[in-house]
Amino acid sequence: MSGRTIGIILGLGAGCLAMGIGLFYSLSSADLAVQDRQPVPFSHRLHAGTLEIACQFCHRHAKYSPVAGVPSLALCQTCHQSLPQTTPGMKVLQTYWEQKRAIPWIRLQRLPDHVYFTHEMHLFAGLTCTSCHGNVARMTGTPRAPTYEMGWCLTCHEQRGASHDCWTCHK
Amino acid sequence: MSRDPQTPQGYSKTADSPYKWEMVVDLDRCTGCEACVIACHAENNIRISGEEEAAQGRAINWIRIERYWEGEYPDVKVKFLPVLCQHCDEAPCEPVCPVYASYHTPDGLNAQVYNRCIGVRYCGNNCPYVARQFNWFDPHWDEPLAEQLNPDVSVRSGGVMEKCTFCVQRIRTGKENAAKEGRRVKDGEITPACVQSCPTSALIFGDRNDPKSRVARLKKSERGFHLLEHLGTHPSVTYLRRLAE
Repeated sequence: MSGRTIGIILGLGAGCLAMGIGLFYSLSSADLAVQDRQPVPFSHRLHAGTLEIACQFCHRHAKYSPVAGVPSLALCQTCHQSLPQTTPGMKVLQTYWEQKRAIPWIRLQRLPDHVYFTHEMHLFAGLTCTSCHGNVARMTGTPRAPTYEMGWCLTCHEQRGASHDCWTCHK
Repeated sequence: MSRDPQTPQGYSKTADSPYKWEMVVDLDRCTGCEACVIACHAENNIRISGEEEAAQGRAINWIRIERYWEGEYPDVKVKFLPVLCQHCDEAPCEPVCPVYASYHTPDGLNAQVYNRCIGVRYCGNNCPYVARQFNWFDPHWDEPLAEQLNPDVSVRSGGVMEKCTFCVQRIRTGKENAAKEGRRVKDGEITPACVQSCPTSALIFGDRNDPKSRVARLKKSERGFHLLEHLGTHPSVTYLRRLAE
């Protein structure tokens, strides 16, 4: 084989590899839903949808702090201790309670270190949970909301006349 | 954002923010104890440099105490000058940034957006106060020091320029608290770490747009001057001369 043929083959190989990796990321395959599988099969559709439990009954720090907070097992038990264990999920919950272990929930939303975000001020500004998190009441499991990217934030900030200053959200 | 270069206070006059954060440094009170330097390091996650790095000029301090000796031993006097980012209204570091990482906030702060910075260091070279410092290395803290990092301040990685922010995280919190109660920020409600730690209250911070604030009043003092005033940078930090001895 001449040097030119080898060059073409190598070039094509590198191109295919780059395309493959690009495709892999564009399909979000690197961010598989499997990674979001929670230790307890919790359903927002049941709790927020069917049972109509207010978001902030469980995520009770949202109104007072930067983070919305994940409810403690004790909070789950305020209702669940008087419920029969009819589903496998409820049995898992009961096991955690009996073993006095906190549920190791998998965190789905994590903003980069250079971003300052506070739930408190967004609720104060009159936004609702669904404004950013979507219609959680219709979602099974604990789905990821839209990608929280800067352009997405700024679109809303623009529409509502909120601050555009970099240092409002970057620290 | 447009500014009228003819007016020294151009920014605060045209900006849409009700605040203009400024500082007053009373040189008559500064004892050179460097408590401000330590407090600043702790508050702002500033990387720690060893002796070797410091000798190479790679150490980072957002505020430093400059020391001037006067006279000959034994009749010698030492004078201290705390120098931090002057948050100039006409900041020389801002127009030279190719990626707009260095910019002016509506509150009149000279800001650095770390995630935007590409590390060309032009801003640092253009700063007459040497207030901007470059991260030549990734930061490192020996255990358990990494546990005390401030979550409200990003940890800057290597290749990024950084500088005093007037503790913008505290300003942000103060403004949010005021907004929730539907009022203006009160004088003394926001204190940057250096101001808070100063044992002699040599540093005073506040809103210049509030005529009753300590900063607004002290700024008018006859003792007041600015560092390198002739450059026309219009700093937000006012120094008060020492009283005659």
